[in-house]
Amino acid sequence: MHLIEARDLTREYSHGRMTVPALTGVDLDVEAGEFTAIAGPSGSGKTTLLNLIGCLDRPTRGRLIIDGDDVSSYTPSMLSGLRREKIGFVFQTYNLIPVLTAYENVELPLVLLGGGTRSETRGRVMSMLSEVGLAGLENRRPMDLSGGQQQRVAIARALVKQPRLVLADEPTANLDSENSEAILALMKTLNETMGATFLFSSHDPLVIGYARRLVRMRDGKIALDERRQTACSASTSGSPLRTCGAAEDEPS
Amino acid sequence: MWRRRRRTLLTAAAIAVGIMYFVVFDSLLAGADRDAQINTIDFETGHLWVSASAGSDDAVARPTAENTIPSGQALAQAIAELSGVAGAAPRLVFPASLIAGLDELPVSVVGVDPEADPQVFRVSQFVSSGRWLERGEEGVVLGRRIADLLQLEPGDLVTVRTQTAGLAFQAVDLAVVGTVETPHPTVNQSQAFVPLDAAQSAVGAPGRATSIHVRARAAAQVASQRDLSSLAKSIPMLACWDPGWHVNTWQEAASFLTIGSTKRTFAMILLGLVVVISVIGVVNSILLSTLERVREIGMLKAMGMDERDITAVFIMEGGGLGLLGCALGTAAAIAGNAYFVNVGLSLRAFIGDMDLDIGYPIADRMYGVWNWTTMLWAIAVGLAVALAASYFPARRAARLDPAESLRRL
Repeated sequence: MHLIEARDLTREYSHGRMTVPALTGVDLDVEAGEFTAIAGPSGSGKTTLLNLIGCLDRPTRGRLIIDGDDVSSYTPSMLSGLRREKIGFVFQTYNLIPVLTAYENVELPLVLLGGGTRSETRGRVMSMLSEVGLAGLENRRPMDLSGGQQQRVAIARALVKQPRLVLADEPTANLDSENSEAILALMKTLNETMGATFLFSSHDPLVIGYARRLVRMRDGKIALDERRQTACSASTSGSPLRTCGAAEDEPS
Repeated sequence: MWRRRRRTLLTAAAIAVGIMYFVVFDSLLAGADRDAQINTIDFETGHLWVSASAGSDDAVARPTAENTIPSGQALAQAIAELSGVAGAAPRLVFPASLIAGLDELPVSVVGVDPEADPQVFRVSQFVSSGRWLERGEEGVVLGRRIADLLQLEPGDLVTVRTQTAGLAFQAVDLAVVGTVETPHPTVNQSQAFVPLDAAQSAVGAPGRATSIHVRARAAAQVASQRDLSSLAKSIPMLACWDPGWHVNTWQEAASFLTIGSTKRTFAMILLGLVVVISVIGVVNSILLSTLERVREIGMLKAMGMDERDITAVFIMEGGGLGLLGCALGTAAAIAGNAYFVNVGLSLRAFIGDMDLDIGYPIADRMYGVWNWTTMLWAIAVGLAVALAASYFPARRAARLDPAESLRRL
């Protein structure tokens, strides 16, 4: 069973009398544990596809099955529940809650999920912060952290509830190359150690080089879907372009 | 709530000011009511009064055989012996002119029994110069304002000109023995007290009284309606009772009680202002808060918060604002009210040296009272309104499309 099964996924936006297609008839299957990059130029439909798979938006047409459930007919409340339990998000602009500390930001998904004791929650949050290399910084607020550190908090927040799927929309777009590499290496490690499925969008060749599977979008359709035998490992130092030699030139 | 401290504090302060005004205004009106009731009983009517004509007529009429009670002293003595009566005193009230040199002033002359009257009224306790009356003397005690207008002091002579029952004019020279300055403005401005026998002689109505005033024995200053009703029923049982006479309660003379609805309207207008201020402040604050946090709302929805959770977050913020406003408002109301309860509000600051007539028989200073029920009402309304007012912007925030919200810059 696929973790994600998209069939004829279509999203159109209405602007007055005009209808603009953002995604047209996309078919996509994603297996559990995959580390997949969705590449493509701006306006190619990457973010729209991620929003639909993340249940943040509804398709105009088509079916979407996540973890065996057809979510196309879900109510907003059911979609909220699905996001709460099974999906973690990482965004380009981190989207941390500015008044909460790093610890509280990471704790939030567990609070929303409910169930655990206070000490269990604390243990999971501290362990997650340690995994992303932020041990000792848990009491800092976002404004007291660097961009790279904030994105680590965002990754910890996405993963602390051990979701089936992590969606990352341009996760390194606001970071310098050094921090980008570090974040990608971290995501890769967490994919391997925690088994979470990662689906991330980017038009950065560095990011794409890390993926085991590349889905290239163009004009709202999938132009290329390839699985690679080798991708840059998390332990690789330096540029994946150098070590893997598998990345293609990405149109800007 | 504390992300925009200045905005939060301003909104809370607006709610607080509204609550404080409402509480203080209500306190002053309640205080004026209380003082007016006490003044009516202590200086105008006693708890009950017996008259030859029904009800209360504000205009002081010339005494006639129809509107006076013969043997007023005897009836007063009979009433004073009833159980539950602390004192009973006859009064003969008539219109007259006081003449001092070239000055002339219309007044109400109040003929009193100098010894029985203090058992019912408190006028004699407010002698500001000279002394209170003695039985049988040809003297007059003037309200302070009258004495000031006619420039009279104890020892001076004043002429009282009046009309007898037979419509003949009569002038009597009396020595001013004292002046009184009471908390009741009417007494100070228009009443001249003379011994009852001198008054009866001035209008040719020997033995007669326009009214017999009764003070009930009651622990509270304002005797309960039930005490007064039973007393009012026992008076007509007296052997000397004439069925043409009437027993009246102090409330019948208290015309200010009829403006209670006006007072309530004012209080409601102020309460309405608290509501309007709270609604505008809270809606504005929460609306701005949601607009500033669109991306954050999108993120919270992405994390699995549903519409109800988001609504609850912002309603709690509105409730917090309301709570802060109510807390500040209560503190300000207690401080403000403490001032008005102890120091009072000087009406002279508003009316200057003019004669005071605001429809309330109170002195030139209004005092507040502690009314915790009003305060609880104000807090409850402030809080309820803050919660209700935050609902609309909270729902608006909760309905934001998550994908759209996350795209916002």
